[in-house]
Amino acid sequence: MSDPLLQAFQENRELAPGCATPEEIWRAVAGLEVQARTAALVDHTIRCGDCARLWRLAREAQAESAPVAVVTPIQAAGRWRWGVVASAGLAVAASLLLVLRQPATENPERGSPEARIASATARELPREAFLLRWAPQGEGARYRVQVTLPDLTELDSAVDLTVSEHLVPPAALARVPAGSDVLWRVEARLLDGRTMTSPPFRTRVR
Amino acid sequence: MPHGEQRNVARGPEERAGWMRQVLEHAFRRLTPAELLDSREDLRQAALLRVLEVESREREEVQTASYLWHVAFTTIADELRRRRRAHEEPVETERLEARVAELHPGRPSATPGLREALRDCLERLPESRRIPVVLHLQGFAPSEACRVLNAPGKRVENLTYRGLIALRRCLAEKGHAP
Repeated sequence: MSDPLLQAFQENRELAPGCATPEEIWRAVAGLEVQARTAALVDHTIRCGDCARLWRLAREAQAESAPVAVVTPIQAAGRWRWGVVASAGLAVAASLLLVLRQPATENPERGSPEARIASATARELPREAFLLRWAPQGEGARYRVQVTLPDLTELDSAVDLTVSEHLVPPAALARVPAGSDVLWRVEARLLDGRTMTSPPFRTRVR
Repeated sequence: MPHGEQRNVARGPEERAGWMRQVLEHAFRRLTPAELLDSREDLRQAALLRVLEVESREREEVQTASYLWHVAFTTIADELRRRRRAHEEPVETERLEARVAELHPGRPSATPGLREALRDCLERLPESRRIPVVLHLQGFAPSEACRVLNAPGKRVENLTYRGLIALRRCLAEKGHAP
Protein backbone atom coordinates (compact mmCIF):
# COMPACT_ATOMS: atom_id res chain seq x y z
CA MET A 1 0.00 0.00 0.00
CA SER A 2 2.25 2.77 -1.23
CA ASP A 3 -0.42 5.43 -1.79
CA PRO A 4 -0.44 7.64 1.33
CA LEU A 5 -4.14 8.33 0.80
CA LEU A 6 -4.98 4.63 0.99
CA GLN A 7 -2.69 4.27 3.97
CA ALA A 8 -4.27 7.20 5.79
CA PHE A 9 -7.75 5.88 5.13
CA GLN A 10 -7.00 2.30 6.10
CA GLU A 11 -5.10 3.19 9.26
CA ASN A 12 -8.21 4.61 10.87
CA ARG A 13 -9.10 2.59 13.99
CA GLU A 14 -11.81 4.82 15.35
CA LEU A 15 -15.32 3.66 16.00
CA ALA A 16 -18.52 5.37 14.98
CA PRO A 17 -22.02 4.57 16.19
CA GLY A 18 -24.55 2.83 13.96
CA CYS A 19 -22.49 -0.05 12.59
CA ALA A 20 -24.11 -2.50 10.19
CA THR A 21 -24.12 -6.23 10.86
CA PRO A 22 -21.40 -8.31 9.18
CA GLU A 23 -24.16 -9.95 7.14
CA GLU A 24 -25.29 -6.60 5.81
CA ILE A 25 -21.73 -5.61 4.95
CA TRP A 26 -21.27 -8.93 3.15
CA ARG A 27 -24.39 -8.30 1.11
CA ALA A 28 -23.37 -4.76 0.25
CA VAL A 29 -19.93 -5.90 -0.89
CA ALA A 30 -21.63 -8.55 -3.02
CA GLY A 31 -23.80 -5.86 -4.63
CA LEU A 32 -26.97 -7.28 -3.14
CA GLU A 33 -28.05 -4.30 -1.05
CA VAL A 34 -30.25 -1.48 -2.34
CA GLN A 35 -28.14 1.41 -3.52
CA ALA A 36 -29.22 3.94 -0.93
CA ARG A 37 -28.29 1.53 1.84
CA THR A 38 -24.98 0.69 0.19
CA ALA A 39 -24.16 4.39 -0.04
CA ALA A 40 -24.98 4.84 3.65
CA LEU A 41 -22.81 1.87 4.61
CA VAL A 42 -19.88 3.12 2.52
CA ASP A 43 -20.26 6.60 4.01
CA HIS A 44 -20.14 5.10 7.48
CA THR A 45 -16.70 3.65 6.77
CA ILE A 46 -15.26 7.17 6.43
CA ARG A 47 -15.62 7.59 10.19
CA CYS A 48 -15.68 3.98 11.36
CA GLY A 49 -12.40 2.13 10.98
CA ASP A 50 -14.02 -0.98 12.39
CA CYS A 51 -16.57 -1.27 9.61
CA ALA A 52 -14.04 -0.20 7.01
CA ARG A 53 -11.94 -3.14 8.05
CA LEU A 54 -14.88 -5.52 7.68
CA TRP A 55 -15.52 -4.16 4.20
CA ARG A 56 -11.95 -5.00 3.24
CA LEU A 57 -12.24 -8.42 4.82
CA ALA A 58 -15.49 -9.15 2.99
CA ARG A 59 -13.96 -7.95 -0.27
CA GLU A 60 -11.02 -10.28 0.21
CA ALA A 61 -13.24 -13.23 1.12
CA GLN A 62 -15.47 -12.72 -1.89
CA ALA A 63 -12.54 -12.24 -4.23
CA GLU A 64 -11.07 -15.49 -2.96
CA SER A 65 -14.24 -17.49 -2.83
CA ALA A 66 -16.05 -16.62 -6.03
CA PRO A 67 -15.04 -16.49 -9.64
CA VAL A 68 -15.82 -13.19 -11.32
CA ALA A 69 -19.51 -13.58 -12.02
CA VAL A 70 -21.68 -11.69 -14.44
CA VAL A 71 -23.45 -9.10 -12.35
CA THR A 72 -27.15 -8.82 -12.98
CA PRO A 73 -27.92 -5.65 -11.06
CA ILE A 74 -31.38 -4.94 -9.81
CA GLN A 75 -32.00 -1.23 -9.81
CA ALA A 76 -33.01 -0.26 -6.34
CA ALA A 77 -35.98 1.73 -5.25
CA GLY A 78 -33.65 4.07 -3.40
CA ARG A 79 -32.21 7.16 -5.02
CA TRP A 80 -28.74 7.05 -6.48
CA ARG A 81 -27.55 10.30 -7.89
CA TRP A 82 -25.81 9.10 -10.98
CA GLY A 83 -27.43 12.03 -12.66
CA VAL A 84 -27.94 10.42 -16.02
CA VAL A 85 -31.25 8.63 -16.20
CA ALA A 86 -30.22 7.03 -19.45
CA SER A 87 -27.36 5.14 -17.88
CA ALA A 88 -29.68 3.76 -15.20
CA GLY A 89 -32.04 2.63 -17.93
CA LEU A 90 -29.20 1.01 -19.77
CA ALA A 91 -28.13 -0.82 -16.63
CA VAL A 92 -31.66 -2.13 -16.15
CA ALA A 93 -31.77 -3.14 -19.78
CA ALA A 94 -28.43 -4.86 -19.56
CA SER A 95 -29.41 -6.76 -16.45
CA LEU A 96 -32.67 -8.04 -17.85
CA LEU A 97 -31.10 -8.87 -21.18
CA LEU A 98 -28.48 -10.89 -19.37
CA VAL A 99 -31.19 -12.79 -17.58
CA LEU A 100 -33.11 -13.34 -20.80
CA ARG A 101 -30.10 -14.49 -22.77
CA GLN A 102 -28.15 -16.48 -20.27
CA PRO A 103 -28.84 -19.49 -18.14
CA ALA A 104 -28.75 -18.79 -14.43
CA THR A 105 -25.28 -18.45 -13.03
CA GLU A 106 -23.79 -21.26 -11.01
CA ASN A 107 -22.71 -18.79 -8.35
CA PRO A 108 -24.33 -20.27 -5.26
CA GLU A 109 -25.00 -16.91 -3.67
CA ARG A 110 -27.16 -15.99 -6.59
CA GLY A 111 -29.09 -19.18 -7.02
CA SER A 112 -28.93 -22.04 -9.41
CA PRO A 113 -31.02 -23.08 -12.38
CA GLU A 114 -32.83 -25.77 -10.45
CA ALA A 115 -33.59 -23.42 -7.59
CA ARG A 116 -35.47 -20.81 -9.57
CA ILE A 117 -38.54 -19.04 -8.28
CA ALA A 118 -41.82 -19.89 -10.00
CA SER A 119 -44.55 -17.38 -10.78
CA ALA A 120 -48.00 -17.89 -9.25
CA THR A 121 -49.55 -15.00 -11.17
CA ALA A 122 -52.25 -15.19 -13.84
CA ARG A 123 -51.22 -14.44 -17.42
CA GLU A 124 -53.39 -11.31 -17.36
CA LEU A 125 -54.40 -8.97 -14.53
CA PRO A 126 -56.58 -5.87 -14.18
CA ARG A 127 -54.48 -2.74 -13.67
CA GLU A 128 -56.45 -1.83 -10.53
CA ALA A 129 -55.47 -5.12 -8.92
CA PHE A 130 -52.12 -5.94 -10.45
CA LEU A 131 -51.04 -8.35 -7.76
CA LEU A 132 -47.86 -10.25 -8.61
CA ARG A 133 -47.41 -13.54 -6.80
CA TRP A 134 -44.67 -16.14 -6.73
CA ALA A 135 -43.84 -19.35 -4.94
CA PRO A 136 -42.71 -18.65 -1.37
CA GLN A 137 -39.09 -19.55 -0.64
CA GLY A 138 -39.35 -20.61 2.98
CA GLU A 139 -39.78 -18.95 6.30
CA GLY A 140 -37.85 -15.75 6.81
CA ALA A 141 -37.17 -15.15 3.11
CA ARG A 142 -37.09 -11.51 1.94
CA TYR A 143 -37.95 -10.50 -1.59
CA ARG A 144 -37.09 -7.79 -4.02
CA VAL A 145 -39.26 -7.20 -7.10
CA GLN A 146 -38.60 -5.21 -10.22
CA VAL A 147 -41.28 -4.40 -12.81
CA THR A 148 -40.45 -2.99 -16.24
CA LEU A 149 -41.93 -2.37 -19.67
CA PRO A 150 -40.81 -4.68 -22.47
CA ASP A 151 -38.42 -1.90 -23.54
CA LEU A 152 -37.00 -2.30 -20.04
CA THR A 153 -38.13 1.07 -18.68
CA GLU A 154 -38.61 0.62 -14.96
CA LEU A 155 -42.21 0.95 -13.75
CA ASP A 156 -42.09 -0.11 -10.16
CA SER A 157 -39.90 -1.89 -7.65
CA ALA A 158 -40.10 -3.03 -4.06
CA VAL A 159 -37.53 -4.28 -1.61
CA ASP A 160 -37.45 -6.20 1.62
CA LEU A 161 -40.85 -7.79 1.16
CA THR A 162 -41.69 -10.46 3.69
CA VAL A 163 -44.57 -11.96 1.70
CA SER A 164 -44.37 -13.57 -1.71
CA GLU A 165 -46.55 -11.01 -3.46
CA HIS A 166 -46.49 -7.39 -4.51
CA LEU A 167 -49.30 -5.10 -5.60
CA VAL A 168 -48.16 -2.80 -8.39
CA PRO A 169 -49.85 0.58 -7.83
CA PRO A 170 -52.27 1.53 -10.63
CA ALA A 171 -50.39 4.83 -11.02
CA ALA A 172 -47.27 2.90 -12.01
CA LEU A 173 -49.25 1.27 -14.82
CA ALA A 174 -50.95 4.47 -15.98
CA ARG A 175 -48.93 4.73 -19.19
CA VAL A 176 -49.19 1.05 -20.05
CA PRO A 177 -51.84 0.51 -22.75
CA ALA A 178 -54.43 -2.21 -22.10
CA GLY A 179 -53.37 -5.49 -23.65
CA SER A 180 -49.65 -4.73 -23.20
CA ASP A 181 -47.23 -6.93 -21.32
CA VAL A 182 -45.00 -5.94 -18.45
CA LEU A 183 -41.93 -7.87 -17.35
CA TRP A 184 -41.11 -8.57 -13.73
CA ARG A 185 -38.71 -10.61 -11.75
CA VAL A 186 -38.03 -11.48 -8.15
CA GLU A 187 -34.92 -11.94 -6.08
CA ALA A 188 -35.26 -13.88 -2.83
CA ARG A 189 -32.82 -13.66 0.05
CA LEU A 190 -33.03 -16.75 2.22
CA LEU A 191 -32.40 -16.98 5.92
CA ASP A 192 -29.01 -18.60 5.40
CA GLY A 193 -27.85 -15.71 3.24
CA ARG A 194 -28.28 -17.41 -0.11
CA THR A 195 -30.00 -15.50 -2.87
CA MET A 196 -32.18 -16.82 -5.68
CA THR A 197 -33.30 -14.95 -8.74
CA SER A 198 -36.35 -15.71 -10.85
CA PRO A 199 -36.40 -15.63 -14.62
CA PRO A 200 -38.30 -12.63 -16.00
CA PHE A 201 -42.07 -13.17 -16.09
CA ARG A 202 -44.58 -11.58 -18.47
CA THR A 203 -48.00 -10.43 -17.32
CA ARG A 204 -50.55 -8.63 -19.47
CA VAL A 205 -52.29 -5.48 -18.24
CA ARG A 206 -56.04 -5.57 -18.75
CA MET B 1 -7.03 -20.88 -6.79
CA PRO B 2 -10.63 -19.79 -7.27
CA HIS B 3 -12.62 -21.49 -4.57
CA GLY B 4 -16.03 -20.37 -5.72
CA GLU B 5 -16.01 -23.06 -8.33
CA GLN B 6 -15.43 -25.71 -5.73
CA ARG B 7 -18.53 -27.76 -5.17
CA ASN B 8 -18.83 -30.64 -2.82
CA VAL B 9 -18.70 -33.77 -4.87
CA ALA B 10 -18.11 -36.06 -1.92
CA ARG B 11 -20.84 -38.59 -1.35
CA GLY B 12 -20.31 -39.91 2.16
CA PRO B 13 -20.73 -37.81 5.28
CA GLU B 14 -17.09 -38.27 6.22
CA GLU B 15 -15.87 -37.11 2.84
CA ARG B 16 -18.21 -34.18 3.02
CA ALA B 17 -17.04 -33.18 6.49
CA GLY B 18 -13.46 -33.43 5.26
CA TRP B 19 -14.23 -31.14 2.34
CA MET B 20 -15.85 -28.56 4.60
CA ARG B 21 -12.93 -28.65 7.03
CA GLN B 22 -10.49 -28.20 4.18
CA VAL B 23 -12.30 -25.19 2.69
CA LEU B 24 -12.76 -23.56 6.09
CA GLU B 25 -9.13 -24.13 6.96
CA HIS B 26 -8.04 -22.36 3.83
CA ALA B 27 -10.52 -19.53 4.37
CA PHE B 28 -9.36 -18.95 7.94
CA ARG B 29 -5.74 -19.11 6.90
CA ARG B 30 -6.36 -16.31 4.43
CA LEU B 31 -8.76 -14.15 6.41
CA THR B 32 -7.80 -14.34 10.07
CA PRO B 33 -6.25 -11.04 11.19
CA ALA B 34 -3.10 -11.05 13.30
CA GLU B 35 -4.83 -10.34 16.60
CA LEU B 36 -7.04 -13.43 16.20
CA LEU B 37 -4.31 -15.86 15.16
CA ASP B 38 -4.15 -17.39 18.62
CA SER B 39 -7.77 -18.51 18.34
CA ARG B 40 -7.91 -19.39 14.66
CA GLU B 41 -8.61 -23.05 15.31
CA ASP B 42 -11.44 -22.22 17.72
CA LEU B 43 -12.95 -19.87 15.18
CA ARG B 44 -12.78 -22.52 12.49
CA GLN B 45 -14.61 -24.93 14.75
CA ALA B 46 -17.20 -22.27 15.54
CA ALA B 47 -17.72 -21.68 11.83
CA LEU B 48 -18.15 -25.39 11.20
CA LEU B 49 -20.77 -25.52 13.92
CA ARG B 50 -22.62 -22.60 12.35
CA VAL B 51 -22.70 -24.43 9.05
CA LEU B 52 -24.02 -27.59 10.67
CA GLU B 53 -26.69 -25.60 12.49
CA VAL B 54 -27.85 -24.01 9.25
CA GLU B 55 -27.93 -27.39 7.54
CA SER B 56 -29.94 -28.85 10.38
CA ARG B 57 -32.39 -25.94 10.40
CA GLU B 58 -32.81 -25.78 6.64
CA ARG B 59 -32.57 -29.52 6.09
CA GLU B 60 -30.32 -28.88 3.16
CA GLU B 61 -26.63 -29.56 2.72
CA VAL B 62 -24.20 -26.79 1.98
CA GLN B 63 -22.74 -27.57 -1.42
CA THR B 64 -20.51 -24.66 -2.24
CA ALA B 65 -17.21 -23.29 -1.02
CA SER B 66 -18.36 -19.69 -1.35
CA TYR B 67 -20.97 -20.24 1.33
CA LEU B 68 -18.26 -21.56 3.66
CA TRP B 69 -16.15 -18.45 3.00
CA HIS B 70 -19.18 -16.36 3.83
CA VAL B 71 -19.50 -18.14 7.18
CA ALA B 72 -15.78 -17.73 7.82
CA PHE B 73 -16.12 -13.99 7.25
CA THR B 74 -19.09 -13.57 9.60
CA THR B 75 -17.40 -15.67 12.28
CA ILE B 76 -14.25 -13.53 12.15
CA ALA B 77 -16.25 -10.30 12.01
CA ASP B 78 -18.32 -11.28 15.03
CA GLU B 79 -15.20 -12.16 16.99
CA LEU B 80 -13.46 -8.89 16.09
CA ARG B 81 -16.47 -6.97 17.30
CA ARG B 82 -16.86 -9.08 20.39
CA ARG B 83 -13.26 -8.41 21.39
CA ARG B 84 -13.60 -4.76 20.62
CA ARG B 85 -16.68 -4.50 22.85
CA ALA B 86 -15.04 -6.52 25.61
CA HIS B 87 -11.93 -4.36 25.64
CA GLU B 88 -13.96 -1.16 25.41
CA GLU B 89 -11.17 0.49 23.47
CA PRO B 90 -11.00 4.17 24.29
CA VAL B 91 -11.89 6.61 21.58
CA GLU B 92 -8.48 8.15 22.16
CA THR B 93 -6.93 5.69 19.77
CA GLU B 94 -5.24 8.50 17.93
CA ARG B 95 -3.38 9.53 21.06
CA LEU B 96 -2.36 5.94 21.69
CA GLU B 97 -1.08 5.57 18.16
CA ALA B 98 0.85 8.80 18.47
CA ARG B 99 2.49 7.37 21.58
CA VAL B 100 3.34 4.15 19.73
CA ALA B 101 4.84 6.20 16.91
CA GLU B 102 6.88 8.09 19.47
CA LEU B 103 8.19 4.86 20.97
CA HIS B 104 8.79 3.27 17.58
CA PRO B 105 9.85 6.12 15.31
CA GLY B 106 10.79 3.72 12.52
CA ARG B 107 7.19 2.65 12.07
CA PRO B 108 5.80 4.16 8.89
CA SER B 109 2.54 6.01 9.32
CA ALA B 110 0.47 8.51 7.47
CA THR B 111 1.40 12.18 7.61
CA PRO B 112 0.12 13.77 10.83
CA GLY B 113 -3.23 15.39 10.30
CA LEU B 114 -3.73 13.77 6.93
CA ARG B 115 -6.39 11.40 8.21
CA GLU B 116 -8.56 14.17 9.59
CA ALA B 117 -8.09 16.25 6.45
CA LEU B 118 -8.91 13.23 4.33
CA ARG B 119 -12.11 12.60 6.25
CA ASP B 120 -13.15 16.21 5.98
CA CYS B 121 -12.42 16.37 2.25
CA LEU B 122 -14.22 13.09 1.61
CA GLU B 123 -17.31 14.35 3.35
CA ARG B 124 -17.29 17.44 1.15
CA LEU B 125 -17.40 15.44 -2.06
CA PRO B 126 -20.80 14.97 -3.67
CA GLU B 127 -22.19 11.52 -2.94
CA SER B 128 -21.97 10.36 -6.53
CA ARG B 129 -18.17 10.77 -6.38
CA ARG B 130 -17.62 10.14 -2.70
CA ILE B 131 -18.87 6.55 -2.68
CA PRO B 132 -16.66 5.30 -5.55
CA VAL B 133 -13.68 7.17 -4.09
CA VAL B 134 -14.16 5.59 -0.66
CA LEU B 135 -14.35 2.16 -2.27
CA HIS B 136 -11.12 2.95 -4.12
CA LEU B 137 -9.46 3.94 -0.85
CA GLN B 138 -10.68 0.68 0.62
CA GLY B 139 -8.76 -1.14 -2.07
CA PHE B 140 -11.68 -2.15 -4.26
CA ALA B 141 -10.72 -2.73 -7.89
CA PRO B 142 -12.90 -0.92 -10.46
CA SER B 143 -14.73 -4.14 -11.33
CA GLU B 144 -15.44 -4.77 -7.65
CA ALA B 145 -16.75 -1.23 -7.15
CA CYS B 146 -19.05 -1.70 -10.13
CA ARG B 147 -20.46 -4.82 -8.53
CA VAL B 148 -20.99 -3.11 -5.18
CA LEU B 149 -22.71 -0.14 -6.79
CA ASN B 150 -24.59 -2.06 -9.47
CA ALA B 151 -23.35 0.56 -11.87
CA PRO B 152 -21.69 0.59 -15.30
CA GLY B 153 -17.91 0.37 -15.27
CA LYS B 154 -17.08 3.50 -17.23
CA ARG B 155 -19.36 5.59 -15.07
CA VAL B 156 -17.76 4.35 -11.87
CA GLU B 157 -14.26 4.86 -13.24
CA ASN B 158 -15.06 8.42 -14.29
CA LEU B 159 -16.60 9.28 -10.95
CA THR B 160 -13.65 7.79 -9.11
CA TYR B 161 -11.17 9.67 -11.27
CA ARG B 162 -12.95 12.99 -10.90
CA GLY B 163 -13.52 12.39 -7.22
CA LEU B 164 -9.83 11.73 -6.62
CA ILE B 165 -8.87 14.93 -8.42
CA ALA B 166 -11.28 16.91 -6.24
CA LEU B 167 -10.05 15.10 -3.16
CA ARG B 168 -6.40 15.87 -3.85
CA ARG B 169 -7.27 19.48 -4.59
CA CYS B 170 -9.09 19.77 -1.28
CA LEU B 171 -6.18 18.15 0.56
CA ALA B 172 -3.70 20.49 -1.12
CA GLU B 173 -5.74 23.46 0.10
CA LYS B 174 -5.36 22.06 3.61
CA GLY B 175 -1.63 21.77 3.23
CA HIS B 176 -1.44 18.10 2.29
CA ALA B 177 -0.16 17.05 -1.07
CA PRO B 178 -0.07 13.27 -1.00
